[in-house]
Amino acid sequence: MDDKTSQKEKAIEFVRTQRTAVVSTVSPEGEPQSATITFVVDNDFAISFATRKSSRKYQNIMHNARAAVTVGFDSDRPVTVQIQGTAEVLMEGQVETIMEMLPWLVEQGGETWPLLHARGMDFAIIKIKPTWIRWFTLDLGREEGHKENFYQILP
Amino acid sequence: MFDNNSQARKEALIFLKDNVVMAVATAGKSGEPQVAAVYYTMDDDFTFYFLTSRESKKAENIGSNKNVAFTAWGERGIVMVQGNGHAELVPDKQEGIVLRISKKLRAMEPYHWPLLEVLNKDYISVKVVPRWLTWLSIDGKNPGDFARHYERII
Repeated sequence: MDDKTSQKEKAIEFVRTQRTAVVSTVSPEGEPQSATITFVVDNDFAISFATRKSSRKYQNIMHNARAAVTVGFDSDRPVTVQIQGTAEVLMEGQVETIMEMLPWLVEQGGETWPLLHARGMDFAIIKIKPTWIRWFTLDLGREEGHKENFYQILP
Repeated sequence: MFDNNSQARKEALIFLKDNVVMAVATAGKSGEPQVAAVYYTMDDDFTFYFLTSRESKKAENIGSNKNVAFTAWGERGIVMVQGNGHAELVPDKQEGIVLRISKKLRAMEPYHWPLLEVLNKDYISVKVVPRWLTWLSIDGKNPGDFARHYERII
């Protein structure tokens, strides 16, 4: 296993320990918008999350599919993974339908999402396919200096 | 601009002063977003400050687009601040900002990154004046409709 693959696996392992991320999108006027999300991550580092179709992030993505996600905001554990990529709508519909059609959401923790509190609302599942990933960790040794602890996972 | 008697405003201020990390999002010239975790400090009027490398993507983006978005949240209960603001690069290091952030982080030694290296590197501070800011607290409330619980602070 090469170093990049090893770092990718470690980074995914870290991301899977996290329940919250921040997703950023850009409005048609060029203003960034950020919001917390509960998410799931697959083995290719794609991030999926649910959002209401009336949300600004959904509207922004319809206009500009580029999105960024950061995971890791523990003040006592300086580890973060930054992702940039392209967002696509995986599925739209009412929450009940989405949960029925995408059972993997439930299997991967979807039962804890706010989705279950939003019956009858129109939601979309958004998937962000990464084009750029970098992670930073101090767990590997602060004495090396923080520059050396940035790992480029993709490209 | 502010309702100084607002309970929500007081709660948001207490939370933000106690909290140390927030997400700051910027947008590049071609419309690509970027979001990163930053340590921050803030004033009572919700103006906040964070540090970044002069070579960072954040600094580059702010150089061409001063609109930024920010989000901070707490794990106990569900509390969250979201907003947008106007960012300004402060060319000098402004050691006062470093010291203020250090003070907030003091309880978390030895993890003072990147502050330990700030004085030896080309860091700048960024001032953000919020244009709008909302506060969400559903601690102890029915989370049935999140939108009902958002309160506009600015």
